[in-house]
Amino acid sequence: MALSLCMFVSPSHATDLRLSVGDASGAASSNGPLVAFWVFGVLALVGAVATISRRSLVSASLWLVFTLICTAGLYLVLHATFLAAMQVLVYAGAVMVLFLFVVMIVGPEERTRIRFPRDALPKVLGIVALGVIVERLIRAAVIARTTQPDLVADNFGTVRSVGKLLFQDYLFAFEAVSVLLLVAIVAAVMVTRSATEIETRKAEDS
Amino acid sequence: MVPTHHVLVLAAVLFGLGLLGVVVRRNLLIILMSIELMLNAVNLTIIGFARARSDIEGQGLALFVIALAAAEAAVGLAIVVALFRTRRSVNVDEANLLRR
Repeated sequence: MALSLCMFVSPSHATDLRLSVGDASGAASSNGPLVAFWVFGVLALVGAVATISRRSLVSASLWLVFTLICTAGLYLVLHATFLAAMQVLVYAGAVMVLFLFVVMIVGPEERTRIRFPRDALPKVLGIVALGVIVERLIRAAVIARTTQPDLVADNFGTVRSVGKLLFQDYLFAFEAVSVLLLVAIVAAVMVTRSATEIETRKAEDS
Repeated sequence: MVPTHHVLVLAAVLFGLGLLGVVVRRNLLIILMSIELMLNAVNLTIIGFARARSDIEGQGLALFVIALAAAEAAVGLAIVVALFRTRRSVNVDEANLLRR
């Protein structure tokens, strides 16, 4: 089922080459990726708004999982198949499970409300600032628009090509990231040691 | 065929929503989730450009961003657990011992 979904949302590369040569009749078929992109895009936006606005921690976590899966769908449309799989496995899978474990520790009830400033001035300034940031980003995006055809190689975004990149050109970075993950694990264990645990260790060692 | 500026606009709005979540919400876990949202928006931008330039290196960078986000989430969540253990709350407004 996932494979058929892939074939729906990411145009086959042979179709891309045909379109670039000037196939003028394919209006509906050439819009498939754009429609799929915006379907996933609107779902991701809905999920993002829901994530930041839920009062319950469990609801926010699950909405974030939904948003991350929609983002994986977006990656699929953009010819990043390996990355879409990694997003679902690592981000929506491992990282969000970690979040849910900590939500279990902290407790599912959110005891504080979403706090907006009482006075009007901070509110207005905040909204204006956010609007300026997003508007700058959107303006830069629109300036960068081009009408290039969607020409990608047959093996663009596959496991083989990304793997070749990781293990040949960026091998050092790859190994460094694995060391980084080890450091993160050690740091997480260290930070969560309780005071009694440290005392027991000291007593044992001496 | 998805025009690149569509990708960039969507990523910009997602980034803005994540930023809104970080600034407005007072619960540390929601703040961490909003940070993950921002990282995803950045990843979307990177992949959009990688597709526009037919450059596979962008996807390698995005993969490293995912790995780093996982490491950062692990350490951030450990800090949340440690904070909860001492203060019994994950509200950032209540973590103000260093404030004068």
